[in-house]
Amino acid sequence: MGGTRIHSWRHAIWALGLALALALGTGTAVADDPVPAAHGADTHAADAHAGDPDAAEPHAADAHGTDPHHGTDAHGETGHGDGGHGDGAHGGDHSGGMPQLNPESFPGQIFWLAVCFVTLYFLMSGVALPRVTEVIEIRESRIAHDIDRADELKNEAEALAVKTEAALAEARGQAQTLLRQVIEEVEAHRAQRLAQVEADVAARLSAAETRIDQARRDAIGRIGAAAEELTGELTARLTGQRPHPVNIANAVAAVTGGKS
Amino acid sequence: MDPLHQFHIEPIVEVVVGNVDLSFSNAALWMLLAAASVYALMTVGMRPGALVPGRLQSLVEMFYQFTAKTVRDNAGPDARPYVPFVFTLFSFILFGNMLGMIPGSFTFTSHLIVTFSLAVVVITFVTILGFVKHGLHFLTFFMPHGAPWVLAPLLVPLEVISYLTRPISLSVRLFANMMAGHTMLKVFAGFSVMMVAGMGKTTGVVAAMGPVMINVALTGFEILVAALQAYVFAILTCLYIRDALELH
Repeated sequence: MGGTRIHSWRHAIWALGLALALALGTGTAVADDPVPAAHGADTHAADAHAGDPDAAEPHAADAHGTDPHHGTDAHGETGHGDGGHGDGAHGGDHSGGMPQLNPESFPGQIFWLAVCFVTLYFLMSGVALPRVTEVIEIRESRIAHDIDRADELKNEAEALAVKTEAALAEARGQAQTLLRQVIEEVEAHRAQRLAQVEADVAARLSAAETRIDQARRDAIGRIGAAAEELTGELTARLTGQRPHPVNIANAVAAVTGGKS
Repeated sequence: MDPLHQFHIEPIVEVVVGNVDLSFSNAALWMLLAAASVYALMTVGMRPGALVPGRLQSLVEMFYQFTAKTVRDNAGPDARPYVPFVFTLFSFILFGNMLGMIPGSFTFTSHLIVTFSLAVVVITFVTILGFVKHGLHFLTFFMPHGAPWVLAPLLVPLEVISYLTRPISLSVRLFANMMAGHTMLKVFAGFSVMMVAGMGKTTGVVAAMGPVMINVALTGFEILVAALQAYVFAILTCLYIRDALELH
C-alpha cells in the first residue's frame, strides 16, 4: 500500500498541486494588495464608523462589541471597499456581502488548509492507513492460513480414515482366513478322529463277529457231537446194539444237512 | 441575527508574513480540529489492532474499506495507490462538514476558497497523473473516441472547457450546499427569535415552535447533506482519476 512505497513522483505532484493552489490564493491576495494596504491605513476610519453611527444598529454594535477583530479585518475591508458607494455601505459593512467573497481571508485559509490537508495526507498515507491495511491483511492471511490448515487437517483425517478402513478390511480378511483355517483344521481333525473311531469300531465289530461266529460254530460242533452221542445211546437202547460211530455221524449229518 | 455572520473569518492568532495575512482563524482552527479528529479516530481505533475488532476498530476498518471500495468501483483497480489521497479528501471534508453541524462551530467547507483549493488540488493531481501515465497521449482525452476529425475544432475546445470547469463545479457544489444549508438553519432560527421578540412571551414562544420544528427536520437533512457532499466530492475525484488512468 501507499505507506510502504510512496513514489517519489507523487511527492512531486503534491508539492506542485499545493504550490499551485497556494500561488492561486496568494496571487488573488497580492492582486488585491492595494486594498489591504489601504485598508491598513483606513482601519481607524472603519473603526470610527463602527464607533458612532452604527451604534444605533444593534447587529453591528453587537458584533463589534464582542469581537474586536471585526472592525480591523474582514469587515473593515469589505466595508471600506464599498465605502465609496455611500452610506448604505455601512449596513453592508456587516450584513451585506458574503464573507466567502472577501479575498483578504483567502491566503490565510489556503495556507492553513494546505498545512492541515498535507499533514493529514502524510499521516494517513504514512501512518494510519498502512496500519489499517496491515491489520486487515494480517486478519485475512490468518483466516486463509486457518482455512488452509483446516483443509490440510481434513485431508489428513480423510487419509487416516481411508487407512483405517483398509487396515480394518485387512484385519477382517485375516480374521476370515484364520477362521476358515481353524474350521478346516477342526473339520480335518474331526474327520480323522471319526475315521479312526469308525475304523476302531469296525475292527472291534469284526473281531466280535468272528468271535461270535467261532462260538456259534463251536456250539454247533458241540451240538453234532452231542447229537451223535445221543443217537448212539438211543439206538443202543432201542436195538440193543451200538451202531458204528461213522454210521451215526453220517446219519446225523444227513439229518442236519451236513452241518456240524 | 445576520445569517451570514456564521461564515465570518475571525483571526485567533494574527500571523502576517510580508504583507500577506496568514492569521490562524476560526476556519483554520476547525480545519485543524477536523484533521486532528480524523487522525485521532484512525490511530485510537486501530491501536488494538485486534484480530477480532472491537466497535471503534470496526468503525475505522469499515470507514477505510468503504473508501477503498469506492475507489476500486469508481476509479478502477489501478487506482489503488491513490486510496490514501481519496481517503484524506473524503475524511477531511466529511469531518469538516460534520463538525460544522455542531452549533457555534465553524464550517470551513462553506468557504468557496477552501473547496476551490481542494478542487484545484484534485484537478492538478489528476492532470499530472494523466500526463505521467500517458505522456502527451493524455491530450487525446480532449478528442472523443470515434468522432470525425473534422469536428475536432469544435469538440476539442468543448472538451477542454468541460475539463476546466470541473474544479469549479466540484468546489461550488460543496460550498453552495454547505453554505445554503447553514444559512437556512440560521434564517429559521432567526424567525423563532423574531417571533418571540415581536409577539410577546406567550404567543411568540408558541409561534416560534414552528420554525424550531422545521429546524429540527433541516438539521437532520443537513447531516445527510454533509455526509453526501463529502461522498460526492470523493466519488467525483475517483471518476477524474479513472479518466486520467483510462483516458475513456
